[in-house]
Amino acid sequence: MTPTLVRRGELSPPPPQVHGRPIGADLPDAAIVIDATCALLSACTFAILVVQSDVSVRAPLTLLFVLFVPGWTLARLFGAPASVLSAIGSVALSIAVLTILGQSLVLFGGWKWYPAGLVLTGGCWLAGSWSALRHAARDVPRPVAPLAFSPAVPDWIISVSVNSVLIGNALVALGINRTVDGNFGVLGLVNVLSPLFWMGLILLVIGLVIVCAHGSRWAWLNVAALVTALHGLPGMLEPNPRFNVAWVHTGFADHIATEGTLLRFVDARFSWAGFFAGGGLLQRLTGTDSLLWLVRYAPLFYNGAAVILVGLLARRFRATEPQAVIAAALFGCLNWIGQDYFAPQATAFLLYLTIVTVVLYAFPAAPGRGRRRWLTTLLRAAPDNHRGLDGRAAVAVLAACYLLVVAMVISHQLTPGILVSATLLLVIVNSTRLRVLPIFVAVVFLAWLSYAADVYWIGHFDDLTGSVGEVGSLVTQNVSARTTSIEPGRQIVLRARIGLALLTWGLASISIAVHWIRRRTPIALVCLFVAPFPMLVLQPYGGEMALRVCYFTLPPAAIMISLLVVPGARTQTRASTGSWVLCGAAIALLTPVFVAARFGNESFESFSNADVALSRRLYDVAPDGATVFFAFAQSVQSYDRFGDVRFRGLPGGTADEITDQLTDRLQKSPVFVLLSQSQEAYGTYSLSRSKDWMQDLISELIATGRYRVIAELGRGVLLQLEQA
Amino acid sequence: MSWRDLLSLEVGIPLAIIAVALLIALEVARMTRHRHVAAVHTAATIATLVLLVLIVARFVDKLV
Repeated sequence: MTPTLVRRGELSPPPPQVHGRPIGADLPDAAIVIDATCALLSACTFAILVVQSDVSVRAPLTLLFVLFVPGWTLARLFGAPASVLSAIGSVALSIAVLTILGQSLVLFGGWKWYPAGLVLTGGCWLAGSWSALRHAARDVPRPVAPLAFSPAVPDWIISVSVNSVLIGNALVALGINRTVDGNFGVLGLVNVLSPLFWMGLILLVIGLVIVCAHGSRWAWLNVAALVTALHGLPGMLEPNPRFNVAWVHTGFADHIATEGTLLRFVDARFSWAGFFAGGGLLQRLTGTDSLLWLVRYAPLFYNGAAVILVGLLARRFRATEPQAVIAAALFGCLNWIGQDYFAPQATAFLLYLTIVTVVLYAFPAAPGRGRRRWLTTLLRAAPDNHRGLDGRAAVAVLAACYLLVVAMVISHQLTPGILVSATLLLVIVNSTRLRVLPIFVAVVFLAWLSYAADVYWIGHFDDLTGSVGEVGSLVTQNVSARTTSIEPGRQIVLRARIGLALLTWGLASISIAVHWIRRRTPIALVCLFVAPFPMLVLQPYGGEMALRVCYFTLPPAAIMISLLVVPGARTQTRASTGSWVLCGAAIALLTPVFVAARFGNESFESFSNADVALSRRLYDVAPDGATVFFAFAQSVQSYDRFGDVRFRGLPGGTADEITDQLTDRLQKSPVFVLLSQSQEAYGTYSLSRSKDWMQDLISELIATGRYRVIAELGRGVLLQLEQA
Repeated sequence: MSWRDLLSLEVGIPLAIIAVALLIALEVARMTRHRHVAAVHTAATIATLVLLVLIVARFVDKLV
């Protein structure tokens, strides 16, 4: 067994290790600095809240606070070490605290956000200060030989990493600057990006592969730059936050922030409002009018956190440092699915990934020692000698896991199902000793569904259960209905998506087969890979279930692909050099396919200044109770006065027939028609309508003589229906 | 008090909290090899089963 690197008391058990490195001792000296910084951040946030200051740093400071400090303070109170796992766990725990606190305030606390905010910040300040002083007074154990098991890293490797990131980033930034923003066309961003952007990406990948091939941790710098360039791309390029649903979600949070109520009869998502209630609380704490400022870089945050978790998960399964790095990079390059925007599912995914990572680190149970030994023999499981936690630390980590589960259940309706499936499989193959966890998740989920989400399932029971087991319908909704466009450019985008999904699943399956033949099946990873698929048979979820399955299978798939293609040995042989060259070429080739698949909808998922201005004009003129009709939902909508201004789809038919139907509505409320550039692009590129379909519709509507033009911006228009 | 009152939030939420707390206690007891693990196991099982029965009854009651 590899000796521990940290000097500890003789009676203390050796800490859990991965490849000779104690999990909890990666950053021993950083602990006190982080403790002190958290205490200072809590004090600043508390002071800002007390005086209700509008200083410009209030929003970023408060965001930093809510995303890290509560979780870190709780973790340190129970003696958590300063490690990467503790840090990322603290982020998830902080999000859980915010979510549960927000939901509790809405349901039971009369939305008294101010005292709750004072208690949260003040409590963290006091507890954090006490924790910092307590740990500072102790004799901090220092690593004897922190990197004794890593080869010495030559200076030129560090230089390659830093320079490739600096020059690559500069090229990426220059490329984005030179890219003409505007009409992205049928292929989306891949069509308009400057060659400099691609050169920057290639440089980042070259640096990544060279540094990785020498087994250096500096490769993480290249991964960070690559993920930023890929997932921060629309945020850096486009004039406004993208994706209509993200705008709607800020509207939900805004409604809770201002009214402190849930509109469960208006929208089903209010039955799982944990994320929105947490957002509402955040909005009040930051003192901003809306959370739109978070939308732009939310994907970067979610992907950054997921990449770290993928790396940790890979290391847990005996991946070498380069294999973990490549797994993380592959996750970044294969995540075309687009579920990582400002949304409950993105948060729930982060919580899910944190839970399974922590469970596998802290509560393992070696395969082969359980009652179902025949199963592990059949699966040819790799031996797992990883030691988990014991005693008080284990109880504290367990409590934190259960807190994350509760936050997930109240935020999203699908993820708990996948977590039940994953944890159940892990228990069956004896990869974890937490046998009660799947039961706990199922009970909390059913209790929430039955008592807090009854408004939803009473009205949608047939929708929920009607498709169970109907494989044909599921395939139609999940795949066929999503690939109907006859536009050749659109077909390229759709095929890139299907191709990436099949490539991921195919390579992961080959990796499983190869590991099985070698009698080293990473059985827990296989469980995580298989776990989401039962959901595909249960519910089409409006055709989005396949996307969710892709999303949840991606972390284990990326790790398994990395274990398959990245050389495991650190020795530089000709064969491994060839493998690295191939690996680099594959990642470099993957990036344009990723951009085509991920940002192929950008013509109608991004919003021009004209679209946003049109929408703001709408909110200026529309009174409470107004109904706004649009041709397609791909439009800026519902981000303000949610519940007071309602959005509906425009009925079909000729202009006269449409007007007749809208006139019926006019008896109840003022009626507006919003037709924007993003809707026009959706009709043209996704539904293969003629290029001028929307202009024709506008002309026909105006020709009826019943509409007043309120605003005309770009190719969009805002009309108001008038009485005959 | 009718049987329908048993399906209400006032009964269900406290029972759900008790069941969930007992499940956590069970996991902790198993982990620490507490001497009362069997008793906690029994209590958690009973509370969970009762809760599941109430949840199913509530589903049926609301839908029929």
